[in-house]
Amino acid sequence: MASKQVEKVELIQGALDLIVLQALVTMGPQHAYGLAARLEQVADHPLMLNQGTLYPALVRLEQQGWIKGEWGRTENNRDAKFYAITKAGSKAIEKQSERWYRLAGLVDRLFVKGS
Amino acid sequence: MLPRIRRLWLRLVHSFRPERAERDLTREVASHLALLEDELVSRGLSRDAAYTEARKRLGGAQAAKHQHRDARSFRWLDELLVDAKYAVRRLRSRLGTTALAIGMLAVAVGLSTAMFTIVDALIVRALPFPHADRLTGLYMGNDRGGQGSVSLGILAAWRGSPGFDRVEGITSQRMVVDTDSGPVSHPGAVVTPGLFDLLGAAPLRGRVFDTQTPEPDAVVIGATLWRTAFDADEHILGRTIRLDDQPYFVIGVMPASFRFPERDTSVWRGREVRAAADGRTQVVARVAPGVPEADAFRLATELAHATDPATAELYARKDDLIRVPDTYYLRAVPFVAGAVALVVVVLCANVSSLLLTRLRARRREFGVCAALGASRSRLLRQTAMESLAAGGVGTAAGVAMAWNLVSLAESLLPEAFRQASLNPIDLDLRALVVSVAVGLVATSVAGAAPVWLATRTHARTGNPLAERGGTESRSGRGVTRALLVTEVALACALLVGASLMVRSFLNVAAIDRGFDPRGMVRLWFSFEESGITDPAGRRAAAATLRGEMLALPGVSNAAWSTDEGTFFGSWTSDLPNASPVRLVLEVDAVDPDYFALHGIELIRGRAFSATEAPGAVIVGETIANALWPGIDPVGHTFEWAKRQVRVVGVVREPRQSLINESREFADMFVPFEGPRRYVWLSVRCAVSCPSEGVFRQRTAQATRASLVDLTYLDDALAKDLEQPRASAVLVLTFAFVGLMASAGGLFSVLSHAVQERRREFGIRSALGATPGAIARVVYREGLTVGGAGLFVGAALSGAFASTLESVSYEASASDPIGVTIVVVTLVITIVLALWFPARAAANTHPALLLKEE
Repeated sequence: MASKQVEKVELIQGALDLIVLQALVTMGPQHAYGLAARLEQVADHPLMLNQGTLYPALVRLEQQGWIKGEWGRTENNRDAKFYAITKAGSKAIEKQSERWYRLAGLVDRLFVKGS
Repeated sequence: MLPRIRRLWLRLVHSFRPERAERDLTREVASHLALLEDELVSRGLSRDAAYTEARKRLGGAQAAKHQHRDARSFRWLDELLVDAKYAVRRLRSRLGTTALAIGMLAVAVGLSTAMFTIVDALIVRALPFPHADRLTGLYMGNDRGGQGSVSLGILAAWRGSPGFDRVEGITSQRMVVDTDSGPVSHPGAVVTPGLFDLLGAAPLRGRVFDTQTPEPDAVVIGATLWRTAFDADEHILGRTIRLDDQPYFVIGVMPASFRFPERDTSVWRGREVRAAADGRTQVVARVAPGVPEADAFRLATELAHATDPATAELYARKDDLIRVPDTYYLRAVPFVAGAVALVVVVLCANVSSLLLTRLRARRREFGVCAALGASRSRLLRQTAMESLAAGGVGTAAGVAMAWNLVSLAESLLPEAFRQASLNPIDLDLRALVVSVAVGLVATSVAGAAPVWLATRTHARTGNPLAERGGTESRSGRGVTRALLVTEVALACALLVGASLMVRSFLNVAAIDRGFDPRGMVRLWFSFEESGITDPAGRRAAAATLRGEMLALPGVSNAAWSTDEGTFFGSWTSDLPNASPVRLVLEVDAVDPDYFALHGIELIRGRAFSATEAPGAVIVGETIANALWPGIDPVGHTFEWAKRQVRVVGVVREPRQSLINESREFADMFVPFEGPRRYVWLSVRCAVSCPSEGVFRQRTAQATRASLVDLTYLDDALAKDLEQPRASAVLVLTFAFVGLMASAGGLFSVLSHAVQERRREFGIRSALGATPGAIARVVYREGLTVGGAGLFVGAALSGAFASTLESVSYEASASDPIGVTIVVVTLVITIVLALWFPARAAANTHPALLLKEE
């Protein structure tokens, strides 16, 4: 049987940053592969995210000082860079979430059926 | 804001230092792929399948890396850095050409900036004082002359005039300063206390004169004197120093940038202004705001007449605050500036033609790049980067050269040039910016043009590899040849100018002065403040003074003279039916020994005797030839100063100034009857003359007369030659630079042309042309360019002939010897420049060419 072509959700840059931050808050320190796998796991729709797309987001967040990466070992003794959210990141996630909810609310109001 | 700034900073850092982030990324991507592979293997895929699937899911490792790089740095900056590194590599691969272009650009920027700075400081810029437009010197005079100084009473009266808001007095005077290494004469000035305030000058240390309380024993010294004579003594304030053998205490030190009334004045002594005081002074005043200058001067005239009836026939007149530059200087400086501008154009043209030629040779390369997908803008950016890199280094070197030239200007410029302005000679930023911009534009345009043309050609033909011409293309040839003709023309004009300057200098140096200046000193004494007013007293004082001077070691003889004045008029000899002759007579009263002392040749008659009868005169050749042409004037008479005078001798006229002397002036001498207010003593020394300090000390000890100034005549002669020598050296240097630049350009461009025409020369050789015939092809082309340049240069020189000749002395732009020298020099230079390219062309072997194909 042919696999259905699943619709993928295209992510805007700011949304991906917020998702990564929240994932790190929930999961704790995680490497890039782990983050990508987890994000695909929990989303209702698969994110339009080839796993290479995650790296620019991690770079942005690290440069802004909201996450910090350190090299470590996985359970299988593989070399991996683990990212953890920083204090600045924890503060930023609150502000970013508020912005997101305001934006989402606005979009929602504009596109409510019957309004 | 902070996270954004942090990110911006890190992106910049990663653009310039990407290595660590790159290593990190490679490791992270490898780690990601390894983990993904493990996951897929654990789900049952084979290792190979897991390998492929992992890369598919990642989206391609290279793509991931590109996305990472774009996020961690700036793509445009990364590309710019890549282009910059490529540009540096390309320039290093042609080190000779690069060094030549950079060197020429550096010289162009350095020379033009330095010249503009100097011209601006010496000619254009106003006085370096506040309200300079209202500052003026003031003296009493009329159309026949005037008095350079006024009485203190008149100065006091002018202070009360509503036409001026400040009036101060200043008298230049050399002063002997006792330093640690002995007495040294320095230019100084005696000033009224408010002068520094008038000029807005603040001391570096201490204070200036108190305007309320007289300070007759106080002096202010300049910073240069403080450093050189007193070793920058930290305790200089309050220290007692000796000036003209009198003690004074130092109250202040003026900064080196303060220059007044002369550029090198280094000591200022105070004087009190009391209306009833004796003494005279020169005056500096500031016209009151809103008062027309003419009105201020009219009021000053009325006040002077009321104060001193002796000035009834004189009027208040404007005096320049600096030494008025002579006409030679006023023409020479712009002339030299023009020569610099020509050199700069030659150099920029040469740089452009060098770059154009080099880049044209790469047009195949540009075409191939374009065919492989490089956009035109990318190629233009790369070549612009190359040009800017060379231009950047060249202009940076030019800035350094400009700074050094300006620093040296103070010491290398002739004194006559330096004394014409009180402005400091500091690097002019406007000139620097313009020179740098011109240099960069020239190199950028030269860099962009070939790429533009090459990529345009590719767009039309679509096949850059199809271009297999056997000779130079026409498109770029016209531009480079036009540039070469321009360079040769300008070099020709410079050579004509240099030839004129050199011949002028040689003519000036060969002028017969009419007297022997070696070992001669002229001392200028003043009896004005001596208190000796009667003629007998002055004669006695003069005799004492002469005796004292003769007693100095080295002095062998001395003779007095005074300036009896300048007489304008028409003079009629005693010959029958003689017509009046218009001449300006400069009359001096001289001792009997005067002519022998100076080595002035007595052509006819005799010198004065000690008991000469009244009415005897000795005339110069000019008067003799004008009034008694063709006959011996000795014994003849003519009317002068309302009396009949009789000629007892004729002398060869001495020339005091070589350049600026007008031929209208004629010398006449009358017997010396004793000193007036001012008198000269000419002293001849057997071996070497005593120093100025010794003369001043002996004067101060022997008499109440003061030594105003002295001139060592052989130094004066050398100084007289400074201007024409400096002009000749400068223009000759510029002509040499221009000539070498043109030769370099010719050599470089034709070498490349030969390179591009190798196939043509190979074919010619295969068809039987001898090496000599091929070489002649190159010589013909080079000499055609040179000939065209020479023609244009000759026309240019002809158009500016009158300007060129105005700064020369008895030399003409069309002088056959000068023209021959210029033509021969140019032809030899062009032939030498063509020698290597012609030889390379002649050695082109068809067999070798076939091998290369």
